[in-house]
Amino acid sequence: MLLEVSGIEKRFSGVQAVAGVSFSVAQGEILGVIGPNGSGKSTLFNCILGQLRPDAGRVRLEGSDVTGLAPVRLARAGIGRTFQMLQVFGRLSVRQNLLLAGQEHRGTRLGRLLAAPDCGLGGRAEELMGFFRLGPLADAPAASLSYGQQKLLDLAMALMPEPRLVLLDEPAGGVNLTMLREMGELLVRWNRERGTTFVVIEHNMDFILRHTSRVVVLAQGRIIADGAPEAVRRDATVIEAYLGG
Amino acid sequence: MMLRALLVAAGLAVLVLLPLGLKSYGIYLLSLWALNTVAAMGLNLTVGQAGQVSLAQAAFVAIGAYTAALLAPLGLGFWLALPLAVGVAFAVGLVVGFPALRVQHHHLAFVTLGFNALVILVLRNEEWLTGGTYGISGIERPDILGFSTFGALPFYYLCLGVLGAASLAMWWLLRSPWGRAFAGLRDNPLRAASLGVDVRAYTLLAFAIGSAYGGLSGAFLGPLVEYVDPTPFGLETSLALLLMVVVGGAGSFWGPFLGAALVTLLPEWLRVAEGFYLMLYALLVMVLMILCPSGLMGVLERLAGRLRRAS
Amino acid sequence: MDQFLQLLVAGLATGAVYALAAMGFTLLWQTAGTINFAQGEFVMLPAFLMLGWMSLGGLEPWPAFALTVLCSLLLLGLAFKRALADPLMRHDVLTMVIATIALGLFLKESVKELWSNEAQPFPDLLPVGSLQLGGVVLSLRDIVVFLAAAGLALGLQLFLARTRTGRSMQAVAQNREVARIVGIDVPRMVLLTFLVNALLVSVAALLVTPVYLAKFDLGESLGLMAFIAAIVGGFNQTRGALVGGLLVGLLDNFSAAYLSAAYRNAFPLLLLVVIILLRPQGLLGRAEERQV
Repeated sequence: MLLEVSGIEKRFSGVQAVAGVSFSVAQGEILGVIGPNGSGKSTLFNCILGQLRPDAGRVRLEGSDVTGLAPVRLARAGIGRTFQMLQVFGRLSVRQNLLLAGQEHRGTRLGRLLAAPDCGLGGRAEELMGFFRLGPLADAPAASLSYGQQKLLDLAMALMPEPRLVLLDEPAGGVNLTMLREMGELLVRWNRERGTTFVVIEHNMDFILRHTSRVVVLAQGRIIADGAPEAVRRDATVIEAYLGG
Repeated sequence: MMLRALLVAAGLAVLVLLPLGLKSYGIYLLSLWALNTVAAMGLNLTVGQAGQVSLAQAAFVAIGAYTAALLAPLGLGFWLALPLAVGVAFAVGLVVGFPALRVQHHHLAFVTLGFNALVILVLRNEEWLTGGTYGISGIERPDILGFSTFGALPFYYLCLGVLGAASLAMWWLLRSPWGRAFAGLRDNPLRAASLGVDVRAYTLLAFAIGSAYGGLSGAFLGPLVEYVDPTPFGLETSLALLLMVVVGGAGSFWGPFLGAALVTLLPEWLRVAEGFYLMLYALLVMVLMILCPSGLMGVLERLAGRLRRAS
Repeated sequence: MDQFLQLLVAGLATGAVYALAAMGFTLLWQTAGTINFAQGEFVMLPAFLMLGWMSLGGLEPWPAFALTVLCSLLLLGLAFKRALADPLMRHDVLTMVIATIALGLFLKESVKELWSNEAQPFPDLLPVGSLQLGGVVLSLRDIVVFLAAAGLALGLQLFLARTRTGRSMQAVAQNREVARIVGIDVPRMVLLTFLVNALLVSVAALLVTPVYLAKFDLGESLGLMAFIAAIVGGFNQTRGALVGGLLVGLLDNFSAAYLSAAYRNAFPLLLLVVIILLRPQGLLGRAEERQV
């Protein structure tokens, strides 16, 4: 297993946000995590990604314990992520954004001071810009891109250091339908061609059912379903959690 | 790009030719401007790039000045004492920065303020080493390849050379992967960390490199005035250096050149006010902060933008 | 043993005065989002206002003090807020840091140029003399200063915790947006904070100046000690400022007597560094969740 999450619990001043969640992610999967608002998705994500320290439970990446590791260490260990809110470096150009995303993952810091300005990552940046159709915008400041393009750049940045696993936090938020479909297709294509594993948190059911290979459903801090998208769609508990909640 | 290169060349020509028409006091002011610009440029890295408020730059200038003044007569000579002065400022920057950067923003301002006070305390109290309040006098101006820089004009050209070298190094640093990391942690530290950028390490480095620039400036400040004492390195100077950065526009490459010119010359213009000079100065600073907090570079950029749109 | 007790009392007295300045400083930051680097000079100015009322106005000490408090409320409370803090609120912390340092410089230089650069004797409104306690001679003044400052500090603490207005101020400090939604008059609370700070520094001036004499640079080390007290105690807690103030005062007095008088200001700095390394949120501060 690439990622194993076991028994995660997190409580905020009396409220049990996550109540013992366990699941695992196999190499090459696209796993969707869905759940109604307040089901503990974001808290779970933050516990996995080192933003919050879980009260109990373990996170293992290829068998080694990475629970509570600082975000910068997780990134170095090969876990990439995007945020719910857009997070690109607005004043840097698209190319600079990508170079920065990749540069800390190779060589030493002192070596980077003396290295060529692109750290030998120019080719990789071109490739990602090509894949995400950002090529013509290479030298434009990231802040000048459209919202959808910034979302693609955000995703490309997470992929820049060749991570083994990328966690996407609500990638569909605020994106129009056409762009959403394009993003989903690019995601699936990248997964098929490069084998990168993805975990996607989303409350857009359509996006999850269309683009993932397995779905975990959370409600009230617990997992209530885990299976193929089609099976989850017909699951009575899931329907109840969404409609009866 | 062409225009910028032309502007830099023209500016350089002015700086080379200007002192030929000035008396020695004017040349002294120009030299002071060049050294202030170096110190402000370093602080600009800390403040403008790494986003940290430091009130200790004067302390690092002091460390550079005293280290060079103490080591040069020990048979090392100025040119061996110089890298040591810069190195000591860098190392002290790392040591001070380490605890200081555990806290952010306004807290850092206090910690650095406290550090500046501590440095002054040591300079005043350790008479055996620093000469106490009287300081160290008779600091010699160095020779370059056998040429003396004793005169006002040769020493000015030396200061200009130091400014040129420091600017080139800064330009190169900002274009390097480190510069990109600095820009990233200022723009969005949360995202930078998630991409594996060690925000703390880079902030610390920015702080220490900024301190080293302070040390470099100080090493030449001693020979410029030919003595050092604790007085010019107090909080007022740290404020003045911070002011140079902010007036020029924090984070802007050419900002410190402009800011240092204004803050270095201001006392000369306010000289008519005599004893009331500092009152007037403080008042001006407050008005400036209220009216154009983004600095003069910000105002110039806005004007340029308006002109471009108009044409 | 005698000396120890005397130092203890003296330390508590200075510490309680630091605490007053530190509490005002913390309140300003929390409730009004204003960082005041001129806080030390804010303590120095009322001392000279009072001297002014006495020598130029020919007033007795107590009426002079009453007028001083009034002037402080107007100048250091209202005018400071309207003329400097409000316009700077729109900008970042850096501009506020620079502007308030400049304000401190302005106050210092004004007093130096317009009044005197020499230390001025200051009237003692409090009982001078000594107190015999079981063979130990203690300074009566230190005891009274401590009681007065600590009393005011505790009074403020009670005001913040128990009264409706005090709790509203705390609510504004914690979350301005929420406070506004639940119907608290936020601008009024912010103004009140500036006034409370002006009152605190006036009392601090009255208590501290007879010991240190009135001099234009009185605020330099006092301001620094107040900052340190605020951070050591915990920047998001007025209670912390109280504890931090007492701690810094004790450290200041004991280290000056037993370790080195020349470096008396250095020991509180050392304490600051230790606290930052071991407990960056301060002794009583709440830790914030990790950001990066």
